[in-house]
Amino acid sequence: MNNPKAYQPATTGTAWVLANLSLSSPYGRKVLKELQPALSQDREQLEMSLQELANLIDFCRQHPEFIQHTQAIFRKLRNIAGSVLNLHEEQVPDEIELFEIKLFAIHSCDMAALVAQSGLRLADITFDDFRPLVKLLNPDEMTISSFHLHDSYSAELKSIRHEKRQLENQILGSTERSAAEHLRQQRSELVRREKEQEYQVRSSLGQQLKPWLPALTRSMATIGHFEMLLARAVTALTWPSCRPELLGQNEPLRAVEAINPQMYEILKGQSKEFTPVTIEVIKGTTLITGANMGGKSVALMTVATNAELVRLGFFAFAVEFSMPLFDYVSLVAGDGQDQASGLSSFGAEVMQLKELAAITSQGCGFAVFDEFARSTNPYEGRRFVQALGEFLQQTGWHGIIATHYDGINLPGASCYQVIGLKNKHPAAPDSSNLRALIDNLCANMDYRLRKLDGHSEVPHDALHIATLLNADSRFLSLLKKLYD
Amino acid sequence: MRLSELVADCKCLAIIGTEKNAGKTTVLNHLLAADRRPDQAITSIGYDGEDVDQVTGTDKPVIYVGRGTLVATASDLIGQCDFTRELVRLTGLYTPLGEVVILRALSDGYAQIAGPSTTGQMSRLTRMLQQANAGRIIIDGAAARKSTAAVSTADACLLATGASYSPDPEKIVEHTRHIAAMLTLPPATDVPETIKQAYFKAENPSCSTIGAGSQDADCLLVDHTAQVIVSASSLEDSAAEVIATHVEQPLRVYFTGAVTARLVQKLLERTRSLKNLALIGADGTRFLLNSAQYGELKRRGASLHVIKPVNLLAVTVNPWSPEGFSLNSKDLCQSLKSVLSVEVFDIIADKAEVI
Repeated sequence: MNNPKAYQPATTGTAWVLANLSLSSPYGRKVLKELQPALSQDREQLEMSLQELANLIDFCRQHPEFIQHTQAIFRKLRNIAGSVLNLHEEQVPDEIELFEIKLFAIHSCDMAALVAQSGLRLADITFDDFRPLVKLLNPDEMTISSFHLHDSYSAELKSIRHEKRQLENQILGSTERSAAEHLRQQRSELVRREKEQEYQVRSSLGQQLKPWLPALTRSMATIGHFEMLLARAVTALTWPSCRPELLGQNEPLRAVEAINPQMYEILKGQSKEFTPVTIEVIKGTTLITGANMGGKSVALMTVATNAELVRLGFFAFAVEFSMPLFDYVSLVAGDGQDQASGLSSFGAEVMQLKELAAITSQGCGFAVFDEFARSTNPYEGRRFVQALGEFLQQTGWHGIIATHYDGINLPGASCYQVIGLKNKHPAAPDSSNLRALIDNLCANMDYRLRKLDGHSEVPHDALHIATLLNADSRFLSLLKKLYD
Repeated sequence: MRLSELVADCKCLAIIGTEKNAGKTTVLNHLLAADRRPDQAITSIGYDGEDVDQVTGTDKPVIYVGRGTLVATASDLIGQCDFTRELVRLTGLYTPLGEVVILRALSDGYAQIAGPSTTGQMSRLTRMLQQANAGRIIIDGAAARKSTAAVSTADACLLATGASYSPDPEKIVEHTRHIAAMLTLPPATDVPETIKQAYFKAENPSCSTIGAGSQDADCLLVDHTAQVIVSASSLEDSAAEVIATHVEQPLRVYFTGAVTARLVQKLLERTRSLKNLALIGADGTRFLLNSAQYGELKRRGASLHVIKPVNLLAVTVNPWSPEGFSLNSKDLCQSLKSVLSVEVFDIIADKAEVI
């Protein structure tokens, strides 16, 4: 069943990071399922969580083995919520439930001991001491990772089992059929009494477990939070990251060499490097222009993904990252054609904008627009973008618009351009292999952003890029005539 | 040699039947009683609720285990086991009757067992039993065609046959001979690496990508250069067509699923000579053809092979039928011995004790 409150990431980059978290216990996965982004009023709380995360990251950097040791315990954990609930409801626990609770108590003790020995101190994570509970479910001297209703729980149980065992030996030794049958009947009576006694013992254990239920419930949550915190630390250690600085609502978002982990990994798989994004997004409108295939969308998504992850308590994947704590991070991308609802890509954008406009009065936010109104005609599209820029400035949100349209005139807007083609007259490649064409294009492209002083400028590189992609030569010659 | 001596060195033994009620559980009880070794473990593939206990007439034959035995069974059946027990491990493998739990019998007693039914789960379970120090695992299988999970995990196998199949001894002998022949098909040689991976994926569905088409192509045609020339779905009649069009040249057809009677029938209808053809299944339980089809395939020159051969140690005979009649056990055993290359045991006569 879907949790109606479950958070839906706005960016695929965030969804990817969440989906790839190393969470193996049911408790960690539950925390992920219930994860909610921080709001502007939660700044103090988020600062504290980030401090806790920073401490853990420092610790794990010095003691990488700590991660493996804790993960080994997380992997062993089973969900005991059902068993705990049954005990709450006064049901007599069965052997499996008692076994589950015993294992949980043992693993919790192991985790508590591991953390205590490590010297790591975390304010939010304290483990209950379950050693007396382990003792209750493991009356022997030595703690074993199995469970049985021990003879020592009941003198009567012990004597029944003793008697039963003797009968079983006699059955084994008996050669005469009718005698064996008689012994078996006697044994079945003992089996009945043994089950009765075992029920008494389980019932009594259930009573003795009752006082432990609050601690068990608390520990399930603590372990979940600890695993989630550790998973965040692991992501911060996997990719270049920094502790984000949280600012007031009027400050700009500033990203220095930010990366998008998902793109970073995809490019790594192709032996390419992600070009980090450095940008300052002011309150109001920031425009990004640039060549086709110049990485405008990637730059946009990188910033949005990081802003979203920060709200979810992660370190930012950047060298430096500071931002106001937004109430919303929204993405409007025209590629979301929604045929099911009968909307074209343009129609879908209009609807997304409408939804976004409705929430702009409810808090501060960060919105990114990837090629807004790209699929309409340039004459009107330019006006749509112009209006959107002005609209964003009025809402008091932070917004980035990546656009292709010329002549956007927004006083007070901050303008960036993808540097684009390094060489304005690159040679077409010899190979017609798609992979080779794209590799060649990548090699010719400078994906970095350049801040423009005045108005936005749109570079006219489409012809060059079509040449680099080895477009049909007859078509290209026709096209070139039009440029002359 | 006694049956218990024959299987003494097996690490993992599967007991499968030619049909249901062929006496598998009687064989299991016999082995458990004959050799009360402390490192024994038992489980079953699935839960064969259709079996009838030959001795007591109850719905399901009971298994009597000695103390120390590890019993892997579904959680819903634990209450029906009457030995004093220790819960050793919760396996995380689920059946319709709940999670499979490994128990250790702390006393003798009756057990009801239901284990996993897929090959992947069964091999995980046997590993867990070995980690719990099981020296010998016995898997109570099902009818041969449903026992893939048992034979592909086990290192040896017993085939139980008997009067439950037919009142006619000749039919029993012919049927048993055919199943034994399928189980003991020779291993294929020079299996290409890609094919081995396809078999691995078929056995471990979680490793393969989910989606349309990923499970459809269970029939891979490989030419003499060990290249997959075409793949097809054995469920579609066109598969036989595809095989027929390539059979002029040396051709190996690898089936990751079952080799069905329907497909073989279509193939026989469409072709004459099959001297270039080799049909290869994962193991002998996957060949679901009847003995007439097998005979015809061989007559036309086709050869049948398996990826993992089954080590069939013996055939056991149960002359009693659940319908109430019994056959002359001695004659039946003699006839079987004359057509089989493995030992034949009469479990009723040979049995030490009926529990």
